[in-house]
Amino acid sequence: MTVSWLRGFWTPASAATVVALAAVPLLLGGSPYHLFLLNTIGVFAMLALGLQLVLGYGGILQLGYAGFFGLGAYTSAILTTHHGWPFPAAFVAAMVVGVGGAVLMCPIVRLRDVNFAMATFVFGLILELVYNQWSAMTNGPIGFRGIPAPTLFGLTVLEPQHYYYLIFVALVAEYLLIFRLLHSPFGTALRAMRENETACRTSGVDVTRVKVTLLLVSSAIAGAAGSLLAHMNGFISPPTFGWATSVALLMMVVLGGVRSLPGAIVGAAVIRLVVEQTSVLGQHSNIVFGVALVLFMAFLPTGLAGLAGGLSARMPWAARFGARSVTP
Amino acid sequence: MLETERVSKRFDGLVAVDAVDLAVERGEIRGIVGPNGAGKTTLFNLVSGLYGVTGGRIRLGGRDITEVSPHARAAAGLGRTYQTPQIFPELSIFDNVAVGLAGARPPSLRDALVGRRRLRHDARAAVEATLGFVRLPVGLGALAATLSFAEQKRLELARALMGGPAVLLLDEPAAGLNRVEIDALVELIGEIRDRGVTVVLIEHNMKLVMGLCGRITVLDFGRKIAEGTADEVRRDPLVVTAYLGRSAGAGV
Amino acid sequence: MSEFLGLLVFGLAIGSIYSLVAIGFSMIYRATGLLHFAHPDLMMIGGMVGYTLATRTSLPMPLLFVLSGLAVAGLSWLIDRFGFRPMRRQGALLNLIIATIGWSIILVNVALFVWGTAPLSYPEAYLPKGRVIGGIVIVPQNLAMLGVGLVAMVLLHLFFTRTVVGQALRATAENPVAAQLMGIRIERMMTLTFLLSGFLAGGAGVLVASIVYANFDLGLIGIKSFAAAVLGGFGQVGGAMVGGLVLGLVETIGAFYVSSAYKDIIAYTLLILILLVRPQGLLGAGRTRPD
Repeated sequence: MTVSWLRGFWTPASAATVVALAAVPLLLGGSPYHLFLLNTIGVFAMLALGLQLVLGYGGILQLGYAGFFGLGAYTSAILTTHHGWPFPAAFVAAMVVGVGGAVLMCPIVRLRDVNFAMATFVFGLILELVYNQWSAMTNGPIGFRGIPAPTLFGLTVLEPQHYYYLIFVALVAEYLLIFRLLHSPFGTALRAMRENETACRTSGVDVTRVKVTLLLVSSAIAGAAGSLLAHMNGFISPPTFGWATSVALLMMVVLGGVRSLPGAIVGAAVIRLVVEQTSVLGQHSNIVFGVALVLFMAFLPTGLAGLAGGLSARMPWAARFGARSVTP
Repeated sequence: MLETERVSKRFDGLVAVDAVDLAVERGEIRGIVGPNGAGKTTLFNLVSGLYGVTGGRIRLGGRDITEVSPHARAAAGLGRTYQTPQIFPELSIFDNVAVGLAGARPPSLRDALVGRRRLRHDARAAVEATLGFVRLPVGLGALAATLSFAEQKRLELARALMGGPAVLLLDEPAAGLNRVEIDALVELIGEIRDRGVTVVLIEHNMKLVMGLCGRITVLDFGRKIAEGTADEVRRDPLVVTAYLGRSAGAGV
Repeated sequence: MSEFLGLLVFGLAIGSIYSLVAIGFSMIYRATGLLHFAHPDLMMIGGMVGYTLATRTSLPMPLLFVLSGLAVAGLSWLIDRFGFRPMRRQGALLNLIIATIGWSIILVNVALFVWGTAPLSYPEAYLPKGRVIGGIVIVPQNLAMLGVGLVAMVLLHLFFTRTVVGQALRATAENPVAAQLMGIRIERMMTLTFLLSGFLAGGAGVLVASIVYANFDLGLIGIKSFAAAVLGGFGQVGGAMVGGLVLGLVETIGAFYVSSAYKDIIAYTLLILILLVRPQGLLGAGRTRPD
């Protein structure tokens, strides 16, 4: 059955996947490098899911997403380091500030898609500039160090292994949230809006409100991811929250498949791995991104998930990961 | 129930609708007719809020809705179908119809998180009931794109009815239907009226209009040129002229 | 007072650059609905090509302008012909817009590869000493920018309003379907759009690069021309002209009186404010009501 209200999340496949992912650190036997990599992938997977919600399902070209990521990171960093806030409170604050940033952008939602895309793009640029210039708060281009490890329920999370579980829980929670959102009247309205906005309006759907909700939710997610990153690395700096990252996130969503949740996670993993590898190749590595974006948009707009969907005709088990329609 | 008071719409120099007064009583089935380009669909677009008026007021159940957004009008009890069925081809039958609930129960974050089972159950029952009413016996999970043209029209109608509208605007509901389907449609519209819904329909099929509608409003060049019962309108020289040309009208 | 004059000249000069790039950007948007994110990078390529020409051939400035313009025009057309046109049939605008982001990255990296990372200065001969007007150094280049910019704008204006081709171009941009019905060859108009906008961007690149430096980064300056395009009313060519000048002025004056570090933020915030308050831009006509 097609994506609809009526489907639930817990199937044998999904349960198995969750258990398998939970077991990964045990299998890796504590290699710090691999765990660090996985943790980073985890954080970016959270972001990719959030962006996918707003871009893939909402059809909103949010080009400043990394800026919101930064809002969460800096908020959490500043509150814990300079003001001694406990991690859970800072985490929540990070989400709130993320949402706050989105609220600032809300009036823009009424704009036509193109103007809106431009506004998000510029908003992202502004945020990046602010992170760089407002040294008093963010410490400017040198970056913000000394962010403490998070303390939850009296335990300080120091080991990458334990951090893995923190991120894992956050990621699963987020996935569930988005899944439920999509398989609800809200999700139906979303998909209907993609197909025929006019019919939605005269059927009673408050299109603006739906879009605003999407923006707010995705911004909260970005804020949360930011907080997690900040405390994981103990150090953050402006370039992580600028246009290059926004493009990388875009790439993740495009690669995985604009409307496939598992796809976003796969996309995040692939891109992160590519970034790790190509930093070895040097400066020209970026061109890979550019070429990939162009090629994917031209030949495979549904991403890898679309490919899987195409394959599903022959291999039914792959269908679970396939996205439905051709055009985002 | 539905009133337009001197409603006009002008597009940069072209006057599509010119000071049209309309007063539809509760429980009526009103026909809107006129030659092509007379402004009928534009009038519907004004009433449902897709266009803003350049003059005049619109009232629904006594309440002025001229400045109200389309979705709020739907929530207030205004349902609508289109000349070509505006359905969601990639969505399931259930989803297509369920969108119609959005006016009564705006899709919210909260609904996605709590009380889903109950919501699902109630919605499912309501959708099935409506589909039964419009005589569309298809599986809830089927894709809307697989339906035939006539079935898609029914689907759209079902969606419009889900909101429990007080007034239903039907734009050429009979277009593209064969005689059997049209008969079924007439019966269905009658049943809708019997449920207390006020129906306003645009149609080119004169036989249907004359037979079904209590009163008929005739538009030409954006203006109302006649209004009355089927007989009155049929004999009006202005109407004949509008449809058949000047010389024909002169002979009446 | 003289201080103000200096600011005025400088502001208008940089504004002309924004205008030249913004006009192209607007034209493309108008004709195809596309947000061409790689357009500012075309300007950058113009600056780089100009650098190569300047160091290899010592041709006079105006020729550099024209030659670079032509080169970039060709590049712009190529990208459209082989990158965008095949995708237009798909019908998904979002895909195209994302693809332009990809092209932007490609262009920047190509520039990096060919010209390296170090900022390259045009030869001495192209940088005659400037005069100091009211505390601001005004180089002849600035006047050239201003001059070329104004001339270009006047010519464009005449082109769009007086020539048949220009009017056809506008018609295509306004309403492609109607234009086609009137017998205008759409694809040809689109080709012309990309060629013309590429030319302007390339030329603008030379002007800017000769004063500042030629570097793969130059596209960042061009990004501000997005602001100019929106400021003037997205898609309105005349508006892009005005928007660019206004942006240049506001930015220069703001940097002088407020803070130069925040100069970019001023430009961007202005852009967002305009989008919010008057989405149709300063010159844009028409309704904000949807549909």
